[in-house]
Amino acid sequence: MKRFLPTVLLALIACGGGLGPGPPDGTGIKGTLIFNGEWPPETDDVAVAVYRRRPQTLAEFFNIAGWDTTVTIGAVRYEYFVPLEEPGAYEWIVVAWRPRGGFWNFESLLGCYHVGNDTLPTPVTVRTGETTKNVDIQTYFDLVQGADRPDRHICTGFLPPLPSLSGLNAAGGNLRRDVGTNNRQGDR
Amino acid sequence: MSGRTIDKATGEPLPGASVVLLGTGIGTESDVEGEFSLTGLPPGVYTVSVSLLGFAPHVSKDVEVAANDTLRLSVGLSSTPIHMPAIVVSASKRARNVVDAPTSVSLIGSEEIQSDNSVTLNESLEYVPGVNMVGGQVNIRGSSGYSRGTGSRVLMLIDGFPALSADNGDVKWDAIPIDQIARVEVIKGAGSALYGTGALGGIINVITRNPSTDPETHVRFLGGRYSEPVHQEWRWSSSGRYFQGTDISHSRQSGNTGFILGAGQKWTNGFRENAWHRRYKLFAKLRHRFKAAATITATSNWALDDHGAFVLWKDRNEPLEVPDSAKNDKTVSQKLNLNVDFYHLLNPQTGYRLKSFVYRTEFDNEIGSRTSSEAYKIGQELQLDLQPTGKVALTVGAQWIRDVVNSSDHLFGNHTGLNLAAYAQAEIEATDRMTLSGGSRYDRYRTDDRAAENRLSPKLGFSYRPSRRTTLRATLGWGFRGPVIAEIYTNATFSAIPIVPNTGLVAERSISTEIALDHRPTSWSHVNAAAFWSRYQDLVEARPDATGRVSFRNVAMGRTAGIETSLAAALGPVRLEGNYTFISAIENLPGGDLPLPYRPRHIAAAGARATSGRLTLEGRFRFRSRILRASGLLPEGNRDLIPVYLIDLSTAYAIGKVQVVLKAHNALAYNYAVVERNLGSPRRISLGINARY
Repeated sequence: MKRFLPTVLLALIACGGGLGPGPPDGTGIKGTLIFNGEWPPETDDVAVAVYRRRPQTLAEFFNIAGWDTTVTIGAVRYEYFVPLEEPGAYEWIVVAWRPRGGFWNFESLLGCYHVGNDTLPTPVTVRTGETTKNVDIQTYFDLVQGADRPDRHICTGFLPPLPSLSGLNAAGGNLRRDVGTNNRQGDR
Repeated sequence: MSGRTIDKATGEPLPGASVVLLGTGIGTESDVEGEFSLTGLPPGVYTVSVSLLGFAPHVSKDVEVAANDTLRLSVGLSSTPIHMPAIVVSASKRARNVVDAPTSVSLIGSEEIQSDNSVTLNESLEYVPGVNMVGGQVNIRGSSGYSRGTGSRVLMLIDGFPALSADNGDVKWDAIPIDQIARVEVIKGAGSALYGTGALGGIINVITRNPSTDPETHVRFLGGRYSEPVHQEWRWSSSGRYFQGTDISHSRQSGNTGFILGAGQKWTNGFRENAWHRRYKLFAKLRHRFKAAATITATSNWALDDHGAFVLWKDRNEPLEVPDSAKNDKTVSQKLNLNVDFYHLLNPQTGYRLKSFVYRTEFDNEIGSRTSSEAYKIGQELQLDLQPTGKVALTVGAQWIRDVVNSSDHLFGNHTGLNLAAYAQAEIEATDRMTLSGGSRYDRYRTDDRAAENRLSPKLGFSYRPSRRTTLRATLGWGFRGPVIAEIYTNATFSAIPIVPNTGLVAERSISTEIALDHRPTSWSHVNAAAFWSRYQDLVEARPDATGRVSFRNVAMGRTAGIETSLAAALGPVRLEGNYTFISAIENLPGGDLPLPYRPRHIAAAGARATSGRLTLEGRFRFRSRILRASGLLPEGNRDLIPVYLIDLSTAYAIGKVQVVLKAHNALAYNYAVVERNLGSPRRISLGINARY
């Protein structure tokens, strides 16, 4: 009990003690990642990335507005926060997976933010000094193993076709491999 | 048998004294003149207990009642500075002296509940030694964690009748008639030897008052206001947050028949978003005493609760708000129970009791999607009380309980369960100072076409009184809890967490033991100490699998061990109380041991009450140490589950038959969370008015 005594005394003299507000999150996006499926043993990292626009080129894929790379490996759920410098609309919020010894790759996405019947990623608006909340994302590990589920087409179906592997190495080249038959192009 | 109860010091009559023939189901209360009578008793020898709050209980042994004669007793009670409970019925399923009870018992009197200004009973239970509430789920000596109320490991009874719902197996606190409570008995440790499934960690038996001998009307008003959040950032509403409730009941007796009729309503707009409720209830109790020492009691209780659903807070920086998607979440629920108890004392050595009950619960949820469930718990129990000699008491009985659940397909579906049981217990006064007890219960239960489970739950007890002021007690008991229908069949999503059925669930089991000392060193002090240990197998916990889906599974092996101490003393007009419980609760996992979820290691409470004439002042402090481990279903884990320090201050003033209580709950406005993303109640100021005419 001795080690509790100082806290007891503090509680007795303080009013409104205990839990308090945390520092304001500031401009950004937060929500919960819900992981579906088993974590691949070769997992090295998982990150949330936020984009102003849906990328059309490889250069745009690496033009990330903000990210959270502190995702807990093996978690069933993770509450993320992506701080952003600028207010405005953000069109593509994705969860990317990186294998051990590998690199971040647009083909190894676990999911993206989309709601309701949207067939494209749902844009999110952020106001100055405010955090846009409840941007929850369902993620699926089988997407990186080539599973043909709707999320694949929603999250990457808008990407232009990738003509050859060599195109990947050219910044500014086209992005997309043929990932399915039900791909969409263009904006919503 | 008739008689009069008086204050030994003044000779004044004592109304409201409880007169009980120990070992039987026969009892009454003294009227305004202190008079009592028990008619139609079979001739023979009885043990009579007379007790009243504020007075030392009086027990008269070898009281002989002759045929066609009325024995006249005059019982003088001596006032005592500290509360001395006398009778307990839950420990042995029959009335007996609390010092002879084969297990540890704590009691809450109606006066304590009244002066607590409690809205529901769980608020008063927080101060009972060894008891801790986790998100509305009661936990005795670390037996329970938290599973949103599903599958209580403490068996809740009202007048000895089951009060856990047939679908969720949870306690409906709003359905407990708090204004009709005579006392609450809290039995600690496994109690399946007499009560079967559910009594894994203990039993709480709410004893409702009997119809009063003299006509009486009772009005209880409770109202107040929640303080605004201390932190400006947390303020979410521009309007005040209030609560109020009124209960009114009338009781009277005509000849051998008495009744209580009561009604009540409660309302709040809630201290946090979507925490509003509107509640209505009705209560009726009818008691008829036949001439041949037989009594029939029928009790019915109905409650309607229409409330918003606050499941998880929106954000740590907006803890009093729900996520935007949950703003319209609500639940409407109804509970109805009908209990009929028939007791017949054939002769001083033999009595039997037949209980029949129906407990219906229904809810309609609009939490995310719409789900509903209607559940019935129906059953009967026949109990035979035998006292072949003055030194031996036998209790034997049989019980059946049927659960019927009709629920939406995407919640539980439609299911039935059947529990058949038989039990026997013997209590032997080996010497004047030593009592031995032993018994067992056999249960067979089955849900739908799942394999039937059979459980044998023995119990052994030993009680020794080395002196008039000291009792030593030791018990060893087995307990179990069959999985409830919600644990087996839930197929739904709550707060984005998908829950899937597990039809392979089996009963969780426990074995528990305790050694206890009860000592009254002086007439103004009382000390109680117990060391306890329990071993659990196949504990049912909600756990996620690798795909993120959650199901109830038999995952845990564990044990709890600890000590529980309490002290009470009266120093002139000041009464002091304190209790402390240490609990080591361990879950055994293949990779090593971890704390069992939601069990604090330290629970303590202390209080002081000073009375001067009509005025009473009281201060109470409650402490619960940090929860070391939470469910793991939410990413922040136990981050926000900090230690709890709460102070309640109250003053009461009695004006004739009216008592006014003004109370500040959580007077220092301490901010805490007992379960994830749920901020505890802020400071609230309440005014309670209790009037009896």
